[in-house]
Amino acid sequence: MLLEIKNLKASVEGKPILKGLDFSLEKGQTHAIMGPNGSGKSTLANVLMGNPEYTVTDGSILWNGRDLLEMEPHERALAGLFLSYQYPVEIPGLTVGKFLKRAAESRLGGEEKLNVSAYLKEIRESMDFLEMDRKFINRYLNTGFSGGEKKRMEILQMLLFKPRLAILDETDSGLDIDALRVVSRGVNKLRNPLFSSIIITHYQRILDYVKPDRVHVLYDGKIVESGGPELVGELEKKGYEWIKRQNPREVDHEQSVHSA
Amino acid sequence: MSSPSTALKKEEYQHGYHFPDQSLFKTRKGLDEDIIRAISGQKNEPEWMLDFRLKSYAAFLQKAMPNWGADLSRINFDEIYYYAKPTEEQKRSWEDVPDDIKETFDRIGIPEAEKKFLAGVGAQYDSEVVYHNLKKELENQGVVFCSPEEAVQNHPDLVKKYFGTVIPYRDNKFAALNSAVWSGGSFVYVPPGIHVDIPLQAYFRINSENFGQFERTLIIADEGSFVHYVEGCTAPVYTTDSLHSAVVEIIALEGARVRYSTIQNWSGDVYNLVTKRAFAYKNATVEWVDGNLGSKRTMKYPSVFLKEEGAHGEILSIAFAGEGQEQDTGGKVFHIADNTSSVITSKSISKNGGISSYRGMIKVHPGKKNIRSRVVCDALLLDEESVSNTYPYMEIASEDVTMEHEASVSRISDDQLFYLQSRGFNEEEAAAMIVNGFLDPLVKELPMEYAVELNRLIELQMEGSVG
Amino acid sequence: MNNNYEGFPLWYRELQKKAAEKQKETPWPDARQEAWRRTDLKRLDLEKVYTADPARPDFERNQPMNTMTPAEDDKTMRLAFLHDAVRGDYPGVEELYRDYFEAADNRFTYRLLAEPPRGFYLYLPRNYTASDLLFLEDKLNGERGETFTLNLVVLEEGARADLWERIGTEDSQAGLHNRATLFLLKRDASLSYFRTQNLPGESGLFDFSRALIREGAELKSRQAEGELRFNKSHMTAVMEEPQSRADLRGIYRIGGARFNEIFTEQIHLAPRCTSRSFYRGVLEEEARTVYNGMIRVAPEATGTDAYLKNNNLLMNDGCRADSIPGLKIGTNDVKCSHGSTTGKVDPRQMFYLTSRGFSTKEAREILTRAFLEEVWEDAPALVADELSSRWGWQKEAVYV
Repeated sequence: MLLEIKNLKASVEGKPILKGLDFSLEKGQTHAIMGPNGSGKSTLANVLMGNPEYTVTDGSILWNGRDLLEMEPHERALAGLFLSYQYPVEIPGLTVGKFLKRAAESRLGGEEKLNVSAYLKEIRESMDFLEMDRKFINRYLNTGFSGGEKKRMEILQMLLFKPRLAILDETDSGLDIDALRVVSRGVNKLRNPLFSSIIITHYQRILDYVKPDRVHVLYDGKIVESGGPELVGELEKKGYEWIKRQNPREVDHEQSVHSA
Repeated sequence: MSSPSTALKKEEYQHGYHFPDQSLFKTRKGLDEDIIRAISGQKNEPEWMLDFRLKSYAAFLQKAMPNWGADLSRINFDEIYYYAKPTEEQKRSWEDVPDDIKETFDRIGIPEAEKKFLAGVGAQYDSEVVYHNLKKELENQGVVFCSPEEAVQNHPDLVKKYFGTVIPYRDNKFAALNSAVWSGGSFVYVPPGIHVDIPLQAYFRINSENFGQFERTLIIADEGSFVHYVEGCTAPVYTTDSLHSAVVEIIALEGARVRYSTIQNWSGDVYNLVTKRAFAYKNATVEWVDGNLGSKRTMKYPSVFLKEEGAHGEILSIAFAGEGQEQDTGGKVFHIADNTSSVITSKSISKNGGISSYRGMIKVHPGKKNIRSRVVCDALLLDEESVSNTYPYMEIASEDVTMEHEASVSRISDDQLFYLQSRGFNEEEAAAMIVNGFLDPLVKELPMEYAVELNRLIELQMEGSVG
Repeated sequence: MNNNYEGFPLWYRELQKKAAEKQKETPWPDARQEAWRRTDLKRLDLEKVYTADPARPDFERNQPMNTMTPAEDDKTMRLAFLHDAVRGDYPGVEELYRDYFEAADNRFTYRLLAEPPRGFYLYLPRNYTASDLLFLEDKLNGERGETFTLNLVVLEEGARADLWERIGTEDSQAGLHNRATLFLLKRDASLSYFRTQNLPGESGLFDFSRALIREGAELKSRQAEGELRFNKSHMTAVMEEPQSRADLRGIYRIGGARFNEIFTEQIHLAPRCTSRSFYRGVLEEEARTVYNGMIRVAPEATGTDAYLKNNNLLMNDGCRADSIPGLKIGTNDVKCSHGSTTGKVDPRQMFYLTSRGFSTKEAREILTRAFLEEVWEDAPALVADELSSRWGWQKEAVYV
């Protein structure tokens, strides 16, 4: 098992968001996690990556049998975990080129010298593949990028870093159909028996391009439904109201807190 | 330089009504220990207050004039009357107030305000509080709202505990002067947990020529209480310079919230040099809303000391400097404890050669954690002769701080003016609308009737300012 | 003593004498003067340096580099020792000296003017374009460890140049150094000026530089402060004539118990001028910095567009940053604003980088570098490399 989450509980600023989540993922699989706004999807992604703003209050996460929660964010990254952010942060002053080069170097661990020209070639090819303007390499990371440009920059990093598990947090949101097609092409390119992914989404759209092996529905901090790709169609037909009716919230007033 | 109070200005000045001087007791010009003893004696003060006055006087003589800010070189301390008592005793009801004083109040709208909503009015005519009315229910809740003189007599323990603790008598030359000769003002005590829902308010006026006004206000908000205190100042026009030098001290104990709003509209011959400072304890909030429209020179920087965790300070400053005026205003916040936050918002307008200066200070003490502060200063210059200065000071000695400061200076844009004119407003109306819009974020923070009064004053200030 | 200035023009002899008198009668700046309120002068042994009389001029030791007096119709750039430039009354010298004397407001500047002229004079004739990066190095070695240096840079109409001035070398003495670079940019001239500092950390430095910018001319100034025991660095740009421009930028990265003070002034005297100040600093350990910026707009300077920005990054408790961005605006036809922020490294940026595989230490360094490099993004590679090596950063190629 690549990833095994048991009874995960996590909170943000003291407010519980994940309330006992169980989830597991085999090597080579692509899983989709769907759910309405406020159900805890982004919290799960950030907890997996180790964002200090999120506090794990209970449960365990095993990564190849290792305790993931004991690992620093950069250790998780070097171990092959990758998160494509819903809202990538801007870093003015740091060019994309410098950032990618240093990131590649830290993946070599200082023992091997980076072949800069080969790497540069790979960056250029990947940018072409994602239909990105090569000039982006000298721009400041994410600074002044449009929503779609930021998402492509995330997928570019995924292609270059070749993670073992990529988590795509709402990567499809705010993308027009062309951008969605390009981003999906990037994910599909990596699909192989050693690459796994978790696609977190509110909508069905991206799953038309990236076919998931399993689909889970996250609601009120827990996985409430799991099934094959057919679950996507079912959700499409019935909408999230169906899930909400079947799973009334534990405490009523929390609903207003979440939607606020 | 001649006095800015020209004949023309007198006509223009809306609140320029002046009744014959009726003061019953008035000290001679100038200041010495005898005059301080006379003031203290008039008020039947206990020995400890007289001692406080005398050592304050010594500090006043010792302290230098500020060497920064507005030009104060024309103040002649020997030409000022330091005390005048207009009526024999405190009047409890409106009917007892002498007619001419009442008429003066009438013209600046106090009875209107009272009819509408008043909880209590302590209105100051010269030095003594002449009119005082506090709703029964507030009294029953234990809220004290009286003159500081009464407080010295009736609540000596509270006065001894807090008076002069926020602003020590040797803080600066003008605080020392006030501590020596203070007279009138307000004393407010709100017991734990009590929320005073309606603003307490007081109007202050200077009515005697060359007469200094040295009122003293002390507000103590006990744990978990809330009070909004409103102070409005308008002074009649005189041809020689008057000095207004007040001291306002606020103590917000744990969980308390105090809001203090001022609309200052002294006439163009007044030096308005006021020290205002608040201590905010654990999770307490202090807000200063400070509007300065009148006076010749104003130097006033309401400040908040965030002394314990979770305290929050907010300062909203509005300044309008017209011909011959210098508004040197702003605010100061001292972050002395962890998890404290502050916001300073300043809006200033200068016209007809007026000078408005923002002067502010944000200080974060060494190693304090989770500090947030934001300062925004916007200045509007209405013509080519006017001046706007900005002097923000930020002293940050801690890493865990988010400090942001922004300032901008602009004029009324031709686009805005043209847009409004194309909708049928003449240039003057359009300009007044833009100025009101510029100030709107602050005006919204004022109680309704004050907002109305402020807008009216601004429209008045704006007359004839364009074209 | 005046005899020693034999052969010097009369205006200079008078000015030098007046400056020497002023130096004597002007008291030490103290906390009552705004520009000195936060200056930690106690760190310096002022009495030792300044109570002595100015040195007697002795120019024999200095061999002139160029004995040719620059002429108006010169076709080539000239570099000369300052004393030759003064003695020969080279173009712009009197103008710059007189302006500097008039603007002087403290004992340090008077003393600098009272000392024998020592420094460089750089002259670019009309419409001359220097194609390479010009390089000037001040070794700043004085007899007692104290130095007084003035560099004059004169660009005739339409001249253009990139100039790198390096102050001090690793083997400079750790004394108290007093210096200024004075600029005269005539009509439509354009200068990009880069200044780095290499003085030993035990040094103290007073720098009161000043630029006069004429119609349509432009000064771009990029300064990287050194890490000194005491550093007080002023840069004043005077927009004297219409449509002139100044873009002043600087960075500082200070650790230890060091004191760093930057003062920038954008003085707008004429219509339709543009000016920018953009200073950023990173503070570590017990360092203390003061940034004092002022935009002054004279009533005549209509159509002014001026901006000023200061950002401080505090890496730990124990350091202190004061930021005082000021505006003095005397006309309404302006666009003037300033912004200042002080804070720690953005935790969201930190998390983003660590989640991409960088350790906390690496991520902090990357963000520090990004923070500073944004200010210096247009520096020539040579200058950027010097800064990188100072801070142990890798050289970075620009990808295309």
